[in-house]
Amino acid sequence: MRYEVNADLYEGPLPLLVELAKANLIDVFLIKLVGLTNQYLLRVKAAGIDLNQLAEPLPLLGSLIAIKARGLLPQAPVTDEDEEVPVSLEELERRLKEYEQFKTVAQLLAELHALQHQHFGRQPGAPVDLGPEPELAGTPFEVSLADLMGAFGKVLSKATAPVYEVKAEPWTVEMKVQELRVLLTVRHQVRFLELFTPQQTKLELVVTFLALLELMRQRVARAVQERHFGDIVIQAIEPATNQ
Amino acid sequence: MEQADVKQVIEAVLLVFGQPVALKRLTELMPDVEAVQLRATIQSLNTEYESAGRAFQIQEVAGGYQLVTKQELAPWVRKALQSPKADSVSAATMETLAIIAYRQPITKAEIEAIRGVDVTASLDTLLERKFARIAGRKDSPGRPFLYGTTPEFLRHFGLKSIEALPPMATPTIPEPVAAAPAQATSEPEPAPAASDGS
Repeated sequence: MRYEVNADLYEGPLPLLVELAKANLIDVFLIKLVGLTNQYLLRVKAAGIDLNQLAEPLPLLGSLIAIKARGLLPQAPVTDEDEEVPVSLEELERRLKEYEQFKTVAQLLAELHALQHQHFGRQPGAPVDLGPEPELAGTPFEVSLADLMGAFGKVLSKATAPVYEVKAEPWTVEMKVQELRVLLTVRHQVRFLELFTPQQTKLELVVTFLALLELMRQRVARAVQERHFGDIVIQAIEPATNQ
Repeated sequence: MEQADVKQVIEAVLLVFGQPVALKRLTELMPDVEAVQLRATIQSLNTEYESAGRAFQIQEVAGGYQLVTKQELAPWVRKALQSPKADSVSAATMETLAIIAYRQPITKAEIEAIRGVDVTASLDTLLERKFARIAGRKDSPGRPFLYGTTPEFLRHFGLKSIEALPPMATPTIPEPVAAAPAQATSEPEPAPAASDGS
């Protein structure tokens, strides 16, 4: 079904009207768009037309409105920003001449380039490049693994870079925390000085102390004193007393 | 310093350097020798090489001196270096290079205006081969890069300096012709008034 419209000046199918307006064969300003849109709304409200047919005129009406809207806006003077403004004949000639000149000197440069490449200066690092390795004399044969090991042994014996040994840490705070937990579970209270022995390295002493602090922080242990200047005793905090 | 010493020092320095050695560097090396004398010595060295039929010569290039083999020996040297042919530059790239060389510093857009085509590829080639470099930015909208040539360019083209470029056929008209008449009609008017006053 064709969508027919009825405007003051025009009566007929809408697509044709739009085409005419686009081609400027009909003055859109003489067409009342209100009339057209009202007609459309009336048809939408009227039952019996399926959706497809209702949708069809929409873009057409839209473009008609767009054409008219564009006509209402003041036209910006048509200037091409990319200097495509009419180029005078002289200007074109000048540009062509200029380009020709560059073309000529480019050829000169090419000749200079070719000429200069007949001269060789010292190549950066080139003297080192002696070409491919000379071919081996005689028939090559397989080398035994022992020979290969021996050859590598020589390489190793010549190695001069010092070797550093990195030891794994023998004690960690986590390990000591675990140890102290076990100790406190078994004995409930330990003298502070018992935790340390003079034979231990400084590192171990420090780690043990850190572990003790950690346990106190976690409220697993506490440090008490019987009297001033008395021995410090580490006690396990029982979960019951904790609450 | 004896003349013979100067000669030998220059020869030794040029022998070990792969790059052109600036005259300034030679004068620093031998402070008691005048630059004029150094130049003269280099010239006499070249004369010596020539008459003795040596395989090399001293070339003044890229603001310095370098020892290079003679042209006639190119086929052998090239073979020895295992570089089968001289590295060539395409005609399009050469045009772009010519425009940069004569018009530097110049923007990409300005090069394209002259060549009438996109020059991205040839510009990239020139930058990669170090014949051209970014020489700054133009103080215009967008602050586009300005391109110029490099000492490497001079070296590869056997030029002493940028002034040694072969002269262009005719001097180019700096301003577009179209713009000239407008200026011609508007400007002369105040000029006579000024001359009347004085």
